[in-house]
Amino acid sequence: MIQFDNVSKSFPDGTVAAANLSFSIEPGEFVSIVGLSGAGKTTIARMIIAEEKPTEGSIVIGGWDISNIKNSEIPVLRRQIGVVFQDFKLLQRKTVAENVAFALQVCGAKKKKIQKIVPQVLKIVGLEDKADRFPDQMSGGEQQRVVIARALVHRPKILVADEPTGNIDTITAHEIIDLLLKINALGTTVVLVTHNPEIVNKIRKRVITVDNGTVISNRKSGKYTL
Amino acid sequence: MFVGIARTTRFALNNFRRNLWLSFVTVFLLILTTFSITLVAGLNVVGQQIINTVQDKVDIDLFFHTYTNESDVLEAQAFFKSMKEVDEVIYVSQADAMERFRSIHVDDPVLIASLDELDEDVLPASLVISTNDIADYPAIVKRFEESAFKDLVEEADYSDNQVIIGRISHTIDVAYQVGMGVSAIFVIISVIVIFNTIRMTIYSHREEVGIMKLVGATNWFIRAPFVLEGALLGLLAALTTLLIFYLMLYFTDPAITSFFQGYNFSVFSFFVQNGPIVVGLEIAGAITISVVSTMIAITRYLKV
Repeated sequence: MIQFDNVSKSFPDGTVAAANLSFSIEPGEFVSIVGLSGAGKTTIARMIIAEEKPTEGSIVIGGWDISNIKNSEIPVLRRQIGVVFQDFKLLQRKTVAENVAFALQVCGAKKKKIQKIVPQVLKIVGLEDKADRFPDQMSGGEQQRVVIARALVHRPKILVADEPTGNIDTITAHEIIDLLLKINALGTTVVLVTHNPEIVNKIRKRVITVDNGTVISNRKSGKYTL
Repeated sequence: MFVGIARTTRFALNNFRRNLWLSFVTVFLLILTTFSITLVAGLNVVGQQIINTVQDKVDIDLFFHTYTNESDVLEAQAFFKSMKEVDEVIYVSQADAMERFRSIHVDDPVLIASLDELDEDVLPASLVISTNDIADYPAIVKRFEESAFKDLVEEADYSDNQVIIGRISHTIDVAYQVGMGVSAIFVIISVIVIFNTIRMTIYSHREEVGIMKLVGATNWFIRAPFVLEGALLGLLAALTTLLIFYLMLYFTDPAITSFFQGYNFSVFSFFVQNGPIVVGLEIAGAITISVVSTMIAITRYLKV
């Protein structure tokens, strides 16, 4: 499903964010990418969604080599990959339902389809009763659920979550992880980028540990080892 | 496709509404630009009309000695007709001149009675020469003065109409150039202001744009609301300018028409007759300025 082959990424200022990264993620897997701050975890997430292009090597997603993806093809890729970020990225002037619907509206979905999908994804994340609330009327955990709901509207095959628990308390963080596990159980490949050892150790799924832009361990049922 | 167009239009209208004051200021400046350009274009059209009207009235009148034979006059007519610069040469015989004189003074029985006392050949035969281009008159006059026909002519009237036209033309040219200069300054100011307006709109929508990119909106869908907003600014400016011009011409037309009395020229009628072209050019011009400026801002600040 996701194949990194000798992927390197360096920035114009000389920073090396990835050096000869090679790993693969199979369909339906739940993989945690862990590492210290600045290890290159987020760069991996950004390369999966083509926010960054590798300097060297190849990235293949679902048989599609996206290493040199054209700008016009990026939207096609993004509709197949849901993205969740630490900073939520919700529109404060829109309600929960409107925020979720926005992702469909800007992709040209018809009103009927939007009216059908939005309640479905809100139900998956347990927010069906809070559809008319605004983000500032909700807790951090609830806002992250809205983000996850928005990421699910295109029924993505892959969900990339970059530090989804970074801005929320421990109990709520576990709820978010449970939600991601539930989504994974429904067949979606989940790539979780985190530096939270407690979470990684609890879920006991595959762990790829990154340090200085390279993979230093890749375990099927791993623990946070740094 | 229809859904996409409808949504981008809605987003564009929202953008306009959210920055309402900024949008109004931008439209106002665009109105100044389109107004000055339209004024210059209008001045040019009016000037051209005046020149054409005056040109139509300009000709060379050659009055022959009363003793000149008709055959010599006809020979002179053929001489002028052979010149490629000459458009028309009208021969007015002595009899025609007398008839014309009588018809003009039909209400003056004393004058007519005194004419009857005189010889029929009292009025001279003449040639009325007109050209396609007013600039050809000097060449025609020169060739005439060098020809043998000069001695047959008692009086030649090629008064300084050309000088008058030259002066009008020069004044219009200067006004046109100054107007174009002022318009160019307004165009530059408008481009900068629209650029800034769209830049601020992009800035105030950076979160939405970021989310659009993340969830897979196409590049055209992200750009389209800004381009449409630019086009909307241009359209509003063009329509307002047209309305101002319509009212301005409507109310000043009687004064302008009376100023050009005898020339059968009305600026208002001219603009009404050429309405579709004027409206089309006005809208196309304003939208072009606006959209070009928007595209520059988008290319610079909207990284998709």
